[in-house]
Amino acid sequence: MSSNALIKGSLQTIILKLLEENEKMYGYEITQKVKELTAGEIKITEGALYPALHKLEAEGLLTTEIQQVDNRVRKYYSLTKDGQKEVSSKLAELQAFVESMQRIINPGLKPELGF
Amino acid sequence: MRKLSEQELKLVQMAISEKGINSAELLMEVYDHFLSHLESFPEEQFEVQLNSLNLKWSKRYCAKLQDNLRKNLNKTVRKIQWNLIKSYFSWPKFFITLLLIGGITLLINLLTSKLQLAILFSVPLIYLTGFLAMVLFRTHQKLKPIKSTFKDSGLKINSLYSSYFITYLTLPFHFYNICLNIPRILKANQLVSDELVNYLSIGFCFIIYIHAITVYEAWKIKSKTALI
Repeated sequence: MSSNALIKGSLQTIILKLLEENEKMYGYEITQKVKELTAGEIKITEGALYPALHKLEAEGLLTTEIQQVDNRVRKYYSLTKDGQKEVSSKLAELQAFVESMQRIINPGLKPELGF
Repeated sequence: MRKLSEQELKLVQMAISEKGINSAELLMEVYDHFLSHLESFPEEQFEVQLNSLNLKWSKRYCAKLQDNLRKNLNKTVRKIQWNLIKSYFSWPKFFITLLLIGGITLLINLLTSKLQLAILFSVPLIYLTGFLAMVLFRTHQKLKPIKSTFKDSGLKINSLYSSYFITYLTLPFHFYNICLNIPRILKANQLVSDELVNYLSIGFCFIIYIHAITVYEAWKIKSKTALI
């Protein structure tokens, strides 16, 4: 499993990117989607996910919607207009960081990463 | 994916009740997380999975999460309210602001008795009281499903948004007491000249009106999606 510290640093970007692709998602669904996309390599813990979701909501990047599902109430998160704008800048930031890391780790390799 | 039995649901509710969460916003999210997780495992693994969830969602972690959520919700509403206040000082709403100040100034200059002045102040206060009653009623309606799910838990479930709005809606009443009633009790009201009282009245009245309008607009935005 990947290091928790590395995941924590990019958690907000992961959430924003997933919501950009999936319109609306609930907390547990996000953890499962990340697990599925990374074949279990990255596991987002509840301890990190919910504070990040609540923070993004407070910053106005996410909005919430409540729906009755089966025997309970479910809280869905989706991107606000500001959140949609933020996705591309966060992704560009992460991409630049990964490229810089590549140059440090492997100076001979020219990275060509795409998100 | 399977449906949990009544017995299993009761066990989940009991486990969550012990976490001491009383915010409806967090409670519904934790409950949904627990159920979504447990539904993806067969019946034989229910106990093991519930125990693992219990360990991850410790009482201490839940308390911290609830505290952070409270801060974040307050921040969200304050941000909405501040943006609304700012909009009243930019075109075209600035025109309404000028009209409001002009109207209040004119009214206060026209008023001749203290009773008339009291009426001017009491209009937004009466409006806020009615609004407060509506917020309480709407919150009560929205919390019904969550309260009924956890009815045996003994938890005192509240909406964090509702607590925030109630506090802010009652602010002008404290303000009224501090600025008008306390000086009167201390017989300090004669220290301020009548002319200054007029300017203060315009200022206070304007603040109360802007406060009442922005709280209502912030509530209108949040009530579409939140438990309020």
